[in-house]
Amino acid sequence: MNLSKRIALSSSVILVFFLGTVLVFLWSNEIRREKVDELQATIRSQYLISDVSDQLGEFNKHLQVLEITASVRGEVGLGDEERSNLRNSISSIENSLANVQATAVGSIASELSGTGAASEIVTEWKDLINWTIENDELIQIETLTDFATEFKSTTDQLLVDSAMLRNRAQQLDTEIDQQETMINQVSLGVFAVSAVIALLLTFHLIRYTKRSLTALREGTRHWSDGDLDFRVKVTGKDDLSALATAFNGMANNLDAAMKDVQEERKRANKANRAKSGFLANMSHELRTPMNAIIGYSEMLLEEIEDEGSLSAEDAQADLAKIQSAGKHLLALINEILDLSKIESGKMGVFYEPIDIGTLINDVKTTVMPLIDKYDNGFEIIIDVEDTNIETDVTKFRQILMNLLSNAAKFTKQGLITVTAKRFVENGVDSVSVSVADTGIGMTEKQLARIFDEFTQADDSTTREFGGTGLGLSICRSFAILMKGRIDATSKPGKGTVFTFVVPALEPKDAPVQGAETSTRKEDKFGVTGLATILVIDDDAVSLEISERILGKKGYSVITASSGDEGIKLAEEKKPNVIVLDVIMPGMDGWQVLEHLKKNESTKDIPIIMQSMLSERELGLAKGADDYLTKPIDKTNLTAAVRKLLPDVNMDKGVLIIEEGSIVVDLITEIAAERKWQLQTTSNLVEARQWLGAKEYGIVLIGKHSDMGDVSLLMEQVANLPETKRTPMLLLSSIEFEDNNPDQLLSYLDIVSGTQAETVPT
Amino acid sequence: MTKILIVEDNEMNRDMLSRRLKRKGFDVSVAIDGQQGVLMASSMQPDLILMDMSLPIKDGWTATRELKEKDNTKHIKIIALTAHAMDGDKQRALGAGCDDYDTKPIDLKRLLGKIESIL
Repeated sequence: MNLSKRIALSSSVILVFFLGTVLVFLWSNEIRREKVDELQATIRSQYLISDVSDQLGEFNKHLQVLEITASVRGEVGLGDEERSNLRNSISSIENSLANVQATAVGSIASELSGTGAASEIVTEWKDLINWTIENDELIQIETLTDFATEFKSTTDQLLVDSAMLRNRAQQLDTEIDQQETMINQVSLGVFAVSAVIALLLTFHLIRYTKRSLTALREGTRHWSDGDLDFRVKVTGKDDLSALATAFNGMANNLDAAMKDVQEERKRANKANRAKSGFLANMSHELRTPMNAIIGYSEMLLEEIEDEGSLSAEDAQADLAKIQSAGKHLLALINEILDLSKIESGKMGVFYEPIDIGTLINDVKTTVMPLIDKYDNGFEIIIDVEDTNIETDVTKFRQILMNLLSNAAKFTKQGLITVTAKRFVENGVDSVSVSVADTGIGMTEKQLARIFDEFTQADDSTTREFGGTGLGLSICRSFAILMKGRIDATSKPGKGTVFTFVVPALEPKDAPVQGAETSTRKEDKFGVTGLATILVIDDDAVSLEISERILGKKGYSVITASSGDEGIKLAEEKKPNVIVLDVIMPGMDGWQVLEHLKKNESTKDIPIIMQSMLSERELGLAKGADDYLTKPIDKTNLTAAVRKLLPDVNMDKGVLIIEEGSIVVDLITEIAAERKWQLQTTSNLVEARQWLGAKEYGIVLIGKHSDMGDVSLLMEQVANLPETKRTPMLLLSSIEFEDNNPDQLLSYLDIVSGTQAETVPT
Repeated sequence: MTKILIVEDNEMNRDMLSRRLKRKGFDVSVAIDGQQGVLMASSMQPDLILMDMSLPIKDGWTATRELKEKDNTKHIKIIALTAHAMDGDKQRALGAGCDDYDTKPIDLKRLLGKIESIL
């Protein structure tokens, strides 16, 4: 029951009892009035009866006078005056008697015998007097005596009546008193009961409200103390329970948010610790070869200074050490760069077809000197039927090279075997390459850390065998990037087997071939087909900044770190906009600009020049479409890119290509609100016709069973002169959370450049 | 002649430092791990130990603590030499009982200055 119902019920109950009290009061008033009326009548009757009694006494005195007169003569006559007096007296008595009859009420009226007798005797007297007047007769003394006797008894009877009436009056008085007491008791009872019930209801209401509020307060106290697991007990279905449920919901959300934050913080702390550890390690690793380089070169200088000259033989050994340390340092720096590229998600995977036998033999040629160094045997087993695979050759080669040089380093006069296999694993056509050696092997503890950065089987390994401790960590990252894995098994003293498994063919769900893949979350929302931006810059930091800024805006960004690479990518990928650095080693930005503007296939691509020098006029004169001065400014860069991209104008109409209705369902409401015209189809032929006939603001592509044909259509649309400026948004790879239209909306906002700095996650 | 014991596991560093110090007129001996370092310090009683910290078998911190606890070696001055140049590394070395601390790559002039002032 909800709170308002409780209050309403309590109020009604109290009202009912109040009405009951009023009714009792009215009823008691009624019965009291009856009794009081009766009491008044009784008293009045008593009074009238005593009046009659008095009058009869007066009358009797007359009779006694007449009797005295008659006692002389035995009879008596009535004079005129007397007659008239007697008549008046009689009529007066009759009136009084009538009054008594009229006044007497209730059962008592019939019990008044005296008045009846008085009426009879008065009537007889009236008759007698009338008779004497009419006949002018005398009244006999016997008659008078009889009457006197009769009067006497009548008067007595009246006295009895009077007494009876007095009793009755007293009785009534008592009854009224009793009634009053009873009424008082009843009223008091009803009042008391109402009061008790009202109190109980109020008490219940207060207790209930207080209990609920106390529970809520308890909840907020727990929550503010950080105990977010606490939940308020929800008992009923009323407003307070609803409030408690709402509070619990809030606590749930808080709890979830808090856990997210804590998780995030934990991750951040962990990442921070890892980073600090990495930095400390890196500092140490870099200093060690630097120490040798500086030390030996200083020493050589000192020796030359001290002795004036230095024999070639003496110098050779030390110079070799400097060279070796320098090479080690270079290897370290390269590997660190690789690692940082992997970590920042910039390491791309480029698939190309290759024969796996050729690939392995290539690597063999390179590592053979290492293997021969300790007189090791070497064997290659290609246990593969179809040796044609598609893979990132550079990474494949680097992994294999690393594993082989490790095997060569830790094996002396043993055997190193490379085995390639091809099989289907979890529905994926995969190749595995294992490198087995009969070398020193590792303990389980060493094995567990072998893929961590800067760790080798143990610290002495570095001293004995060299190496940076980054190789296997990079191998593992490469394998994961290629959607594969790398494992190792080992026995101390027996040898080690490293096996890496990667898909044999380019994964079908991979983004546009060769495009940068990234582990960053934003890239999940890559706007395929809308705008590809090529950034050419030799400075890795600038490249990364530009990429991050543009990537966050939802563009797919490809990068090139030299002019040559940039030109190649521009021809290959036909980006929508090119961001070009001016000062670069080798081919500089001006040369690249000239080249791109001369080339038929790239001359229409808008180019934004970026440089530390402000040579805007020169840039525009040479054919650049915009010119930005470094350091890179987020707002300027995105604005410049936007300006050069086709307008996304939804008002021109939205074409949705999808099977099912996920996108349509999400967008229908927004479209109605913003008055966008929607056209939807799952038929690609129809879509192509429509696109040819009309210009659309944007094409949204949802889930389709034939993504191959969808890509073909997108390619055609991008290449036809009349449709190439129509933006297309491939939504099929986006997972919409709980079918939330806001997510799509903010996504469209990013595409159309209207707002939103970040892509929803 | 001042006797210096270099405890260093890296062959190149050992070779380089010992040669340079010999040239400066010191009597130099070398040990390649912490354990050997402690034994040699005790037997040959050098005036100064240049102690690398990341050492096999027994690391430099442990070796230093042991040397500073033993009666016949606690007077020997120890300079920590380490490629660990992050915050706190110096504290850690001094905490273990080292008398001074220097980082790699070695700046010979600076190191000689420290050697001079400590002896």
